[in-house]
Amino acid sequence: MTNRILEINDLYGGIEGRQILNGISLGIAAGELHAIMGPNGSGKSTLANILAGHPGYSVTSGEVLFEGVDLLSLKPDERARRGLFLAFQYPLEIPGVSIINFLRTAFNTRRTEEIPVLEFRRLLYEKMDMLQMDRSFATRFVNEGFSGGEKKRNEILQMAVLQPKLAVLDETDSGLDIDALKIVAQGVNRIMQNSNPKPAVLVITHYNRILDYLKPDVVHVLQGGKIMLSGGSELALQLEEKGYDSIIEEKGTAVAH
Amino acid sequence: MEAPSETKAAERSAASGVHAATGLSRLHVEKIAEQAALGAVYDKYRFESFSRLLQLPFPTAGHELWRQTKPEQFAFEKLLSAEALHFALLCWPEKHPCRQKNDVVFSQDTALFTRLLNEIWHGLDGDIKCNPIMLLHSSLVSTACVVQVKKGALLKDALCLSSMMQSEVGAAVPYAIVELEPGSNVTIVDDLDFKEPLFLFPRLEFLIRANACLNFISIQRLGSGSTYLARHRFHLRRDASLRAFHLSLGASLARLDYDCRLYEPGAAAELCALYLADGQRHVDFHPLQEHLAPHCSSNLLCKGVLRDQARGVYYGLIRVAEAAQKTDAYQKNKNLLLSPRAHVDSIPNLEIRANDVKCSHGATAGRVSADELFYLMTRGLSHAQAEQLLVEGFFEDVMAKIADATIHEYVRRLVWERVNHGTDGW
Repeated sequence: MTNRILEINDLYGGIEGRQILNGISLGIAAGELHAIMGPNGSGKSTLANILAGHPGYSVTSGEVLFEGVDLLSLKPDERARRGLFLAFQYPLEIPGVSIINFLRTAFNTRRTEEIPVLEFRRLLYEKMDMLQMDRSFATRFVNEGFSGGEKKRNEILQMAVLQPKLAVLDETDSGLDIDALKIVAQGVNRIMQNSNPKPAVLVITHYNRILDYLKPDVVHVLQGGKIMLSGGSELALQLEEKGYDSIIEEKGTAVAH
Repeated sequence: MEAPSETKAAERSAASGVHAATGLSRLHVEKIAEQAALGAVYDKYRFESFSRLLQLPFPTAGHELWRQTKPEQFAFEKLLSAEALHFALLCWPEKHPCRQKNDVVFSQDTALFTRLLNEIWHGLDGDIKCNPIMLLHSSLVSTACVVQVKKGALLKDALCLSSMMQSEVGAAVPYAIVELEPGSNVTIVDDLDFKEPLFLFPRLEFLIRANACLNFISIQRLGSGSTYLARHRFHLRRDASLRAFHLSLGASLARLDYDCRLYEPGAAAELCALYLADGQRHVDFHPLQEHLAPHCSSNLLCKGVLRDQARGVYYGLIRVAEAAQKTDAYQKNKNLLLSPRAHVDSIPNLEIRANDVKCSHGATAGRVSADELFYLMTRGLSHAQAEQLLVEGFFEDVMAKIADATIHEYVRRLVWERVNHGTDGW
């Protein structure tokens, strides 16, 4: 219990006065990979945005501890510098700002001394090679003119460079063809294996396709803003076979008790 | 509506010999003429200008071109004691004297000065005879110089026209005429960085002959408390090419009129401008792209960032004469407002008399996107850092148009220093 990176306790919140999360509790330890699955509108993206500190979302009650610190009292940039990372479902385009310039600025926010330009370029190229990204992307403007798959790959590139303690991947798999999905998932696996200490990863998805490549330690089923069910990776398969409703009906009450 | 009172003021001026709006009298003009000592030919135009000024209505806030930046914001009376400056033509950025002496003439050579003045008065657009601000300028000129780049000369070094400013100069009215002879090619940097409060009222005139190529970078970073009321005029002949870039960072009140006229076929102008204003600064940019001949092109991209209570004005005009078929002319103005009290008026205009042209214009003003800020902050950038990065990104396409690497770095550093000054204001 003490090595938990993230601890969510009975979290209620939503957007524009609409309550979407109805008491979420969840804990993740370093090196663990959890998947949150749920149908559209179940609150998956709301949870991701609240964790990252999106100013449009609000928390009505509950707490979130990040390495024991009250996460909700921190600004988005403070959360990031402490080691939280969100891979966006819809990454934004930043015209005129190159990937290398952006990521070096972000990288330097975690250090007291700035990394030399050449050293950073080496680091960036190494991560790009791992994700099979053409190095010419380094000087392209962030996400401008990128395909959907390139944008998602760019999110994982940022994760690889910034080395977070906890990465929340918000539907990083959606909109990817099978090749892109494999590259992204392998990238996440590599980052998990090669990092020391190992990060915790929370994968938010409504398809289980990505779970063919990422092996979750725990799968949570989210519905109506509440975790209805948690289990091992076999739960994802059962969800696909039987659908959310019947699985929750079948197992939900048993687990809840 | 205000025409009758303007006319009355002009009548009063003409009768009394004192220009009502500025307090300028014939006696002042005589004194300035004596101090400046620009010779009989200039003084003929100086006194002609003053006589015309007295006859014409001076702009008031009701005037179309003075609606946003009002004439009464300018302390014209300060100009009555305008002092002489000493110009020097130097190499840039090292500031050593120009070595290619055979390629460049820098002088007050009377014959050259006379020839160019006569051309400017009689051989170009008629503005100089009827624009009251230009007439005021011509009356007040306190220093003048002529630069001539010789036929076919390809100058490797960039030049700068440096004006040595004595300390405690309250006002200056410089006039520079630059002639690029046919086929010549030169880069000129005009970097104004006087920090003492000053009313600077300059006019630069560029005569770009056939097939000549001018690359002109002007940087205005006067100290706060200063007023800048300037006019840059570019006159392009057949197949002449102009790349001009203006960066406005300083002064409390700055207005620049940027007149680009394409007189003969094949001329091409690529114009860029950036302005950054904070605090109570007021910055005004009036570009004109006037097409007088067929097959010319002009393209203007102007971007501004305003914060605090800064005020921006953009008033752009593309004017295409009936003869100027196959014109290709664009202008775009984009503004980024970093505070709710910053304000910009962006007014692009087209006046097209030819029927076979490609012209367009556009203007936008927007705030920093909250979603983009959030995205950058989730990567660890503070609000201020994220905003800085977005501002840099906003300027990037204009920066990219500065081809010369040294100048590019120089301009980038100035902009960066200004943007990077933090959230306490620039």
